Amino acid sequence: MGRWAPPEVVADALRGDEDAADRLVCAVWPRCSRLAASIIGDWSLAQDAAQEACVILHRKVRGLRSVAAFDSWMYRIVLREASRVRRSNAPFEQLAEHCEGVDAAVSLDVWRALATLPPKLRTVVVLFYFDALTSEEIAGILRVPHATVRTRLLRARDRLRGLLRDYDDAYVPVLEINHHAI
Amino acid sequence: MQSDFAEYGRLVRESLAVPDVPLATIRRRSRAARSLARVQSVAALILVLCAAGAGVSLGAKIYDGMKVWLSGGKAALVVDSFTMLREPMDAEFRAIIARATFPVVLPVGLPQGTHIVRVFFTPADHPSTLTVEYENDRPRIRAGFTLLDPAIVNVPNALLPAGSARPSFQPTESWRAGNEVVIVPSGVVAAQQLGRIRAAMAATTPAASLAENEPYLARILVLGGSLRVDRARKLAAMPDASSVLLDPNEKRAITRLAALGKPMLDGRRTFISNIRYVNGEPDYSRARGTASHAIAIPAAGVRAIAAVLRKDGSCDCEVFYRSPGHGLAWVWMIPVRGPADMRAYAVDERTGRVTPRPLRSAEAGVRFGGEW
Repeated sequence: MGRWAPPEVVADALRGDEDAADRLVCAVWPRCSRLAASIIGDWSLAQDAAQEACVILHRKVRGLRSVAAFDSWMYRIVLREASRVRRSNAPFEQLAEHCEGVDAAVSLDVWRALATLPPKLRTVVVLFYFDALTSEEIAGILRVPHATVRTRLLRARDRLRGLLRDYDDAYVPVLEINHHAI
Repeated sequence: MQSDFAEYGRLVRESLAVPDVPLATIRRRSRAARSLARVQSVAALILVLCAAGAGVSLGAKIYDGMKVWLSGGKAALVVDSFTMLREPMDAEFRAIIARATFPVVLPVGLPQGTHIVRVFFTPADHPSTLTVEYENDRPRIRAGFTLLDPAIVNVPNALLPAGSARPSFQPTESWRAGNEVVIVPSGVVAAQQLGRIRAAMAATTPAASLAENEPYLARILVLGGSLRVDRARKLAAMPDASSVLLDPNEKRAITRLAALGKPMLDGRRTFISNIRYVNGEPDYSRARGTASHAIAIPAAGVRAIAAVLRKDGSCDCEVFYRSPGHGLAWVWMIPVRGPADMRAYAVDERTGRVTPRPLRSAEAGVRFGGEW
């Protein structure tokens, strides 16, 4: 709980406080944009999806049943909006141009790795590795069986392992995935 | 334990430069979507309310603004426009009933504490269809009773829209009461309760039913989805159209309106038109909503409330406003939650001077969670 925004801000927004809803949108916006970008692979489409998600958040947050339900709900909204605007052949590599303060090669590597994955595998990889969610939490968000999440993670890992062979040795650590973490 | 991929991935993703949040756009779109959703829910409600059940031998009916087709105990409805009035007050309700094309027998025999939440009618000038939505907490009732003029022109079934424009058929309870047809969605009122209402309607007259409905009507002007409406109603000891209750969301508009020197409009009445049907469902993407431009609180009253909000605006309160005249405004701050007591102020509308006003004995009993 509290991945997206401080619980007290969520609680205020749940009570129908419109100022709190504004604060909540401001709090979730960066994460929204970045999560959408990781799934869509297109910077401008990601901004569209993030804005759509925030409009839904602003409009519907007061109908949410509890603060504890917020994180999963927010993930679901962003993922759904991201899947709506997602295009095949998304220019993942161009995301590297929007990264600041990291090695461009490493950045390029990460986005290329995600680009190789089909959307379903990419989603679980992003949630598991980047958002540090457990496979149970991902199953809850995606509303799929736990076993399905584990299978997708294993498949994703296999695909990314295959990618290792095409890269320089220097990049191997970047793409190495801890099997036991699954 | 996380892998290198996870660490690098997180690092790279966090390094993505995010533009400023387009808050104004999000807020504007959220409000627009909320309004549309409200229209959709209202029209969907009408769709359900007006579907007719078995036992009504009317054939097909057409209304200016609405069409109803009956077939085998089910009915389909198409409505292209209607007017909705939230929290109707006595005079408004009487005016609608008086203009109806048929002698309206309103539902009677409803339990004590019932309240009329909304009225839908079409056409606007001389309604031949009315849906009155009642609400009660104990026993729990939230039901719309649709009252139709049976003398309206029949429509050939051939005119039932075909293809994706064909409306869906839905089951309801329905019966004839005097010169009207009453329709209630199946299952929203307990069978025993519905039986009592039906019997009471058969035994009453239009005038008597209207008199019996008077206590169900709002005695104050309610703007927004207020939570303390019962208490505010009690504050307005006398029926008085100048008493207005604002919920916390409506309250926020006060400061802006005061700065512009504008009055607060009465947004309870909305006219929805141009409703089309696609895939058997109403399509609201091109529907037009027109809100009333009647003034709920004059500019001087808005300034008076703004002055109170500057003094006592931090609480999560509803605002109850009343203008007793002579350039004076009374403003009550009614806490939405928590143990805080209600507070009352007198405001000189000319100077904007706010004076805390001791609560009268009856008012002093208004506490969160308490009876008074």
